[in-house]
Amino acid sequence: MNNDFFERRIKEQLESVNRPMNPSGWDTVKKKLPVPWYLSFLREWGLLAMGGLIFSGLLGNIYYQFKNQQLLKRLYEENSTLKQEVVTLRQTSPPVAQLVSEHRVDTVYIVKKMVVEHRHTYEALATTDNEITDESVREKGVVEGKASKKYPFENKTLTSKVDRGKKASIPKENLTQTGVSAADSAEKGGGAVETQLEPAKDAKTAATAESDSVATNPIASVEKPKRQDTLSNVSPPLAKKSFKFPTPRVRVGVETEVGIGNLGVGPTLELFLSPHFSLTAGLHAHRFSSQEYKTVRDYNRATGLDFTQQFAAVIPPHDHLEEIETSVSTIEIPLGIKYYLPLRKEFSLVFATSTNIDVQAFNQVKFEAYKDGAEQYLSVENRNDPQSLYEYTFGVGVQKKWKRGIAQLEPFANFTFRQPEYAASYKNVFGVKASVWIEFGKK
Amino acid sequence: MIFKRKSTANSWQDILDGCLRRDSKAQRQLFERYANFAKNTCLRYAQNDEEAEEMVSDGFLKVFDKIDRYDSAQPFEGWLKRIMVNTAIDHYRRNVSKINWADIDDASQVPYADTYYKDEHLMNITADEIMAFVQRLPVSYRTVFSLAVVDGYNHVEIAELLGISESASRSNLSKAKAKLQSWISAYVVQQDEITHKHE
Repeated sequence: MNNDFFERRIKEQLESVNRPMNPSGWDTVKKKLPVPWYLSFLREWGLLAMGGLIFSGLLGNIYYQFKNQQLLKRLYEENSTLKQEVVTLRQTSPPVAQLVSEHRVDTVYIVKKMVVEHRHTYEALATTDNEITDESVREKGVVEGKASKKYPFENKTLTSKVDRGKKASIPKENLTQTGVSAADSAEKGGGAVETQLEPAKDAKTAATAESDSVATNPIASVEKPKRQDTLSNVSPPLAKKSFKFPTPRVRVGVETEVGIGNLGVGPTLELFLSPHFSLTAGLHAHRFSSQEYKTVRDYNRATGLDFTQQFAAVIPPHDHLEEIETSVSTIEIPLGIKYYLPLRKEFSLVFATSTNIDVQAFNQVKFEAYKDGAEQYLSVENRNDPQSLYEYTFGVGVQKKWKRGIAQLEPFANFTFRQPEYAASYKNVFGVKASVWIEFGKK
Repeated sequence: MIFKRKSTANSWQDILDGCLRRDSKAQRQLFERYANFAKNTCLRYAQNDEEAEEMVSDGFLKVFDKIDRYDSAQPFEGWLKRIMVNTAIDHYRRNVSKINWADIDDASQVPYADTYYKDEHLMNITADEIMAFVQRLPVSYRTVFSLAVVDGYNHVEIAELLGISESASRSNLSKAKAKLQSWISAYVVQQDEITHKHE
């Protein structure tokens, strides 16, 4: 026996073997390649980040609704107050309102008259109390100058009305330049527009006019109709509404999911954030149909996993393993969002997307182990580390509603972007969700 | 053309540069270029094709991870082969606790009765058939045999790599060769008998 020849020949033969790699080899490698940092971050923190975002959105929405309610409450109160005032005004002075509303043209004339009175009051106060600044005096002079030039006949009435201005004891703050200018503008003919620019100051001017002309009825009758006119179109006051924190609109139901080779069922809660938009969360039990593999090699090929490593804890000493049957069951929390688009009276279109957080995951495995020719049948359950955020489900369905009862049917497509090890052989692509609900809370 | 179409990395240097940048396309091109070579290296350390492909996958992960250590002045095949052999040894170490160190005669079924080996028997057997016999050897014998006979490691190196004694390495190699010769001769003789019967 020539060992050298044997070794050389064997080496040549073994090195000449050429068996091509399986075409799916790259996919296996790609699955095991380290992922970019952002994917790694998403896997690690994505769920927490998404939960935080949803929670923040929920809080923001509640706060926004709360502020809206507060604003509505304030507006209701103001509205009620105004309406009460309107009612009071209507009860106290209906004839005056009637009178003035028919003589709007007169207001132009009376405003002009007010200007003249202000000037005199202003002048009188300036000369007697000596408290008005030089600047104010200069402005007064300018205004008076203008008035004198344009309307020289006005001076005739001045002296007779100074006393009345004194008697009325107009507060100085009412003698603002704005009041004079506004009156001046009105005097020039275009005053109707300018006098409405600053309502607060106009109100002061009006008050001045009222107090200034205690004995002059026409002036007093001017002010009331203005307010009467502005409020005459307001509807009767509504009952005052007290603020209530918005009652959440929720649905409680049972949801069933049937996919290709899997079945899930469990209670689900739905919380409406707006009339058409809701969040859902549930607790579902999910079972995937069993898969059978003739040999360990078949299992490894189908799942991309190593059976002996995966179930090392439960596999006894053996020569070889056969007839492997695995089934997976999970307890999961489905989280989702839904948008409702009303179609007809009782029907709505439902757009939904969801993902799962697996709380528990079990692999039940049955196999035959052969040792020294002896066959041993084993059935064991292996508990796995549950995974989360590995798939998204997108569905469009129909909803029918009967008062508080609701039924939904929703075909969906499943997008699995990473496969949990315990469900490596399951590819759930399409399915249907059917659910029944009872609705609580304000609609 | 204002917009120049991005060319695919085809040259060897482009592929290497892409792998250094962890570019997925370049990694795929490297894999496709050398996957068959890697698999044929791993086959003699594996029990079957599937196990060899697992070794290739694991080996390429190491290649992509340590590509910066590759000296481009040296042939890539040599560096890749070393990594694949090391990966095969990793597989061996991982499974060493499960290895039954039973005698080779008990561990593997002997298809035919003992026949005296002759060198001409090797001339009448194909490479795939020899590979099938090598893969039938228990993992401890197969690994020592492949390291020593095909990849040229000495017993000191083998002992260090596998964590066994030198004498155990020599013993395993001797038994592996004896078994292979026995199987090959028995197989060739039986094939001859079948041929004569048909004639």
